[in-house]
Amino acid sequence: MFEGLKLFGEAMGTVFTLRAVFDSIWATELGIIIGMLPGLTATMGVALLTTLTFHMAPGNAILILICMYIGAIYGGSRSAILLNIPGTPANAATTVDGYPLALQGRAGEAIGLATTGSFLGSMIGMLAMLIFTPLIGTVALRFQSFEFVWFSIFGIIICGNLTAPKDPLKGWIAGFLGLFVAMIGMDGIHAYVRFSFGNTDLSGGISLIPAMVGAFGFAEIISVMRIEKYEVVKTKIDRVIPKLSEVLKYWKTIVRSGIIGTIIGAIPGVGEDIAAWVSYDVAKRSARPEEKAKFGKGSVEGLLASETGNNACVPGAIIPVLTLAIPGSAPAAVLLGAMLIHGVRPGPLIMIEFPTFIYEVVAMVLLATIMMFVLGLSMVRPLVKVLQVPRQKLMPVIFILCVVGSFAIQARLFDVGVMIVFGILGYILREMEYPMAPLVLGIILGDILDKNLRRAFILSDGSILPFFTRPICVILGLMTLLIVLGRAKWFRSLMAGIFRKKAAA
Amino acid sequence: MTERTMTKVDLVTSAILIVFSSAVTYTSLRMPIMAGRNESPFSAPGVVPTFIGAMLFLLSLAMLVRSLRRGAPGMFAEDRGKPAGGGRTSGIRIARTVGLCILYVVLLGKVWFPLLTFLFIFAFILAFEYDPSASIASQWKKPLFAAFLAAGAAASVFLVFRYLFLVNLP
Repeated sequence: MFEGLKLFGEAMGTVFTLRAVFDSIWATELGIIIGMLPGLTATMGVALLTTLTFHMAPGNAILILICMYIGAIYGGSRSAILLNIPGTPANAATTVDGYPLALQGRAGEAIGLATTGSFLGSMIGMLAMLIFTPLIGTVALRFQSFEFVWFSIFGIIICGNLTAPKDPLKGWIAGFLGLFVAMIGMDGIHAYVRFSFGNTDLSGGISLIPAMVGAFGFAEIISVMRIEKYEVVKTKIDRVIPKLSEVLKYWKTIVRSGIIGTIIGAIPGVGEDIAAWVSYDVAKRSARPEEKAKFGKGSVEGLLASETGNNACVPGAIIPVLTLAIPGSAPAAVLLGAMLIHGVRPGPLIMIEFPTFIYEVVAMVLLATIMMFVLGLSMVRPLVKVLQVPRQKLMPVIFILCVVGSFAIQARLFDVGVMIVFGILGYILREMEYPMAPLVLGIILGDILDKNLRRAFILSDGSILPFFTRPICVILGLMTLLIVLGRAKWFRSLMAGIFRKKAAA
Repeated sequence: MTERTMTKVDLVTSAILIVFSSAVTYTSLRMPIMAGRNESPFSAPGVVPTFIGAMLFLLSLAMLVRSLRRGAPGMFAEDRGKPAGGGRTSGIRIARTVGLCILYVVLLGKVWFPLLTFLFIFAFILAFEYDPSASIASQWKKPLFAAFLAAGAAASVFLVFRYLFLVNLP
């Protein structure tokens, strides 16, 4: 425990330099702007900056990406409050109470509360990261191929289930499609080229970053340009800095939403939007009757719950990235890719290979959170003008960045083609209500599943028994089965019948 | 998309996915088992793709059965001859966006990057702002402003990425 605090203190000394402060200011501000603009997501921002910072030293580049991530998730609350349009999907729950507050002439106050909620959420997540990442890292050292196979399948199933609540079947299909994409190219054991059909470029596989820039960047450009007219800010912004008493009044909601957000963040691929909605829903259920009546009509508690939840999710999503090399959300998936590009290998061995890195990342999250809070409470009025830039002038420039970003890492025009294909495919899939998060998670987990399933079979000489007898495998297997069965009507009615009989007895 | 349209779309998508997953499974099963290299057959490159193909097949089959139960074939018959839903304007806007972007990517590497970028941004802005039915006199400022913005953006992107971020440009 004290050893951890000592390492964290040392990491703060390493991270908190003048250059780091400068980088964190511009990267967080850029993140806020990207988050503010409807159509530009945190994933897109992190993916674009990954490609543009890969010449930098790993420490600087990863700090910039974390600042972008935290800034963008927070920044989305601005358009949610002022325009009733969430800047990123993570801020959809913020619109429910943020916009009514703006309509009541309390836009400035709502922005201040959202900033405070985001700050406190990030801090709670950061504390959890500091305490649990080394612990999980130590436990993860005991994992073998059998456990990683179950983790991959469980990740796809739970991610598909939560990101497509209306139709999880589509979430699971998207996840398995992502796993298939990861199979394209040379396999990691025998160097056998799969599904390339003689194409040399395809033999190298589909790179994660161009695929993500396409699925989250180009697809968003198409979605934005499809709409003819956008809302403009009409509300006036007054006092931004919130009253301390108002924040303290809801301390229970803030702590609870922070914990919920962090836990949801740690679940593979689920992400900030789900964290915000769950936090909001729990806050609504637990609110006093007079407060409950305000939900949906401008409740301060509702706004705080959603914004605390989504920002607490960010550090939460980084926990599995560091300990298991499995991302907790789509932007965290890009962050994982960026770490690999910079020569850091996250995963169970991180505590042995890079023991100080975990604490450095925690210090980076702290710096980014402080910057987000300071910048969030200042320059509110001039920044709102960004929302007035016409989309037809902004989108071609964003597209150029997508192209440069896809091309930059390997200097291959093929990657630009990958970006275009994934953009069009991503747009079509989204229109058909297939979520993108499981697809991206599948691309990352594909390699883990491929190597570990084959290794596990070699270790067990082809027997599937260890997959069902090892304790962690049993837990993960049962959880996966329960998630799948839980979506089947016959299983739900069977369970309801059993519980009813028990209650009657 | 309405629930009715979605049911019809699901039927078509599931059929396509069934064909696709069957092809993935078939191709994976035909991959070598590396017996010649004295390798364990369980480490064969086709093991995991076969599993993925099979899972995709099962999930697509479940979606197909669901669409059939919801009466998707009957919906197709009922809706024959009816105009397709979805706005024409948004379709044109999507086609314009995708078309311009693809044209830009096709010309990458063939035309000098800053020039191509300038032309792309200029054309993109005008494609969405310029109204061909209105008189030139009423909107002469639009091309001028678009050219100014395109030149500024193209020069900034080129200089910043080439000399500040040291990024390779196409």
